[in-house]
Amino acid sequence: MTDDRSLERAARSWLEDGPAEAPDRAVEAALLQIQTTTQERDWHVPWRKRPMTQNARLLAGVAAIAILLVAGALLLRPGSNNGVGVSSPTTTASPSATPMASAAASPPAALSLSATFTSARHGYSVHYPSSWTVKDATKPWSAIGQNNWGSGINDELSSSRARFSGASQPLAKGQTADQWMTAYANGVATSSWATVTIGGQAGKITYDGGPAAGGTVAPGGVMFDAVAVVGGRAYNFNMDGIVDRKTFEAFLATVVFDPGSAFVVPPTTQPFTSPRHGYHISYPPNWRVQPATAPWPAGVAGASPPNPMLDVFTDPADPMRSFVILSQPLANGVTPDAWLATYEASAPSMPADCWPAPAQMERTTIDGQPAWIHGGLPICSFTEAISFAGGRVYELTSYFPLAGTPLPRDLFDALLTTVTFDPSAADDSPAASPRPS
Amino acid sequence: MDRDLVERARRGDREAFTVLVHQVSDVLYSIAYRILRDPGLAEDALQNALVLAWRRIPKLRDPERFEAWIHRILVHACYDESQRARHWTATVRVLPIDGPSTPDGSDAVADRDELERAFRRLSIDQRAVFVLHHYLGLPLVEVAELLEIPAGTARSRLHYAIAGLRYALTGEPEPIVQEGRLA
Repeated sequence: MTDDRSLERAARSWLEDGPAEAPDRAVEAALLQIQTTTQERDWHVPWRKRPMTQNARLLAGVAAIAILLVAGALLLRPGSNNGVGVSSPTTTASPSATPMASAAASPPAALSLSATFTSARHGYSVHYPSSWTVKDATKPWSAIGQNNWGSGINDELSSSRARFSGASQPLAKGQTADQWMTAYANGVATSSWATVTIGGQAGKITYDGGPAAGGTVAPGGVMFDAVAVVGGRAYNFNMDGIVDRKTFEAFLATVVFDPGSAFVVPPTTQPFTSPRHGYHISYPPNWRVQPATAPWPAGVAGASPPNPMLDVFTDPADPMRSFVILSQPLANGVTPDAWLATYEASAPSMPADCWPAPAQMERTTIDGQPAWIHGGLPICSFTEAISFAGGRVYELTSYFPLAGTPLPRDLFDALLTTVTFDPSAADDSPAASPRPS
Repeated sequence: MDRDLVERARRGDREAFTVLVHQVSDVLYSIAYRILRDPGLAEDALQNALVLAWRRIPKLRDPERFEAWIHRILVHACYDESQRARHWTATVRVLPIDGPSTPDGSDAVADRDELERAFRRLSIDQRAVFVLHHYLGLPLVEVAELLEIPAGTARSRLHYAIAGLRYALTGEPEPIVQEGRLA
């Protein structure tokens, strides 16, 4: 086997030897997952929904009044068609009362809301067209004004023409529904808001078909916005694109509030001291921990569970996701920057959104030390933080199934905040009884 | 491949897609196994590729290209699996380079063991090109098109793959300059 031809012949023959049939379990598992997986109908750039500034609200109001004046003039004109008019007197005082003429196309006549979306984070469900794309919220809605489109705060159900967004947040301690509404109004009189029924509860239309803000799914379209307070939570639902009030209300009518199911970061009260990797952490008391039994050898190649060099934290009720930590001493002369650069170069096939250059990674601190975070998207299958302390590099990673739901970012962050590094306590001695990985 | 099935799957017909899955799964798994050399990883890559294909098939512009398109998704799923199982690549990387086998070509079993070990030392990019070319029988131009890389890059990856295998089997020098970055 000394020339390339004979080598290639031997290699081809060797390649032929492997399995030729897919295991049924893998195919069946995929088909099962497909039954509950929505297709992607369209990619759209995750622009931001720009909250209306006071000036914008004023301009929108002026535009609405101008339209009303024109409409009024038309109505008063002799021989005018009385069928032309504004929709509802209750909407005249809202920021923008009438669907604008700028809508690029007619709204859908009747969408079939045949699928049900249940928010894992925000405590509600809603019906939507089964062909729409679903994007789960990944972050909590902490402050009013933050839940822009594409921020990860909203659940977003969308087609290329329209999008329905939903988010919720708990009322502050002692805060009333009216107080929350006033805060949400940001200076606009809440008395101008029309009442709407959302899932059988009284809600308010806070923006009624005016031009959609920047970042809309269908430029030239309109936007509706509604809020309700149920069970101590404030809910915000929004619809933008080529839609109308009737469609928005059809979605709202299918909402089922379940504030008790909204995601809340569990208390991280169970302490753990790593016997291998030199740190302390606190995790939810109902989780399980599998301590590492082997060191992390030099290099940038980490590991995903199961692997003896990982401390693995798992919620027994959610075994498909795990949180793992490992550390290793930096080799002589290797700086954190150099280690990170080598690490970044070690995965050329990973999507750039998951594995950016260190300079593009999100920055934070862990136990007062600089840390770099990357991943976090469903296509990444991990969210990872890297930090350095006392001459060691620490990797703290949550793994989840590819295209699955990441560990909630606020939970990931909560775990990081409990970490204290203790590099002098790390044990890099070989495993007593190594097992094959 | 039945164009009608692909069209129906694009429109959201799960039954049509199920038929397609049964038609392509064996080939996809065969490719994944040969790239990853691990049945568990290959199963995961197959499963992820099928689910991703279902999600993205509405965006497949030309139903006639379904096979090439799903092969591309599979190869990327293999890349992801190899990354997820970094402990495995780490093991590969830190393995000392074993001495070359005796180049007498008389011991087929030993050759196959050497091939297995040598193949595992290749980067995942090199393995993909090697498998698509030598196992699936695709011309290099089609391999390049499938992987969305320049033809020269595909040729280069194949060259270094063969050079790596040759070194493991004969002891002839490995190329000094590696194409691309280590996986």
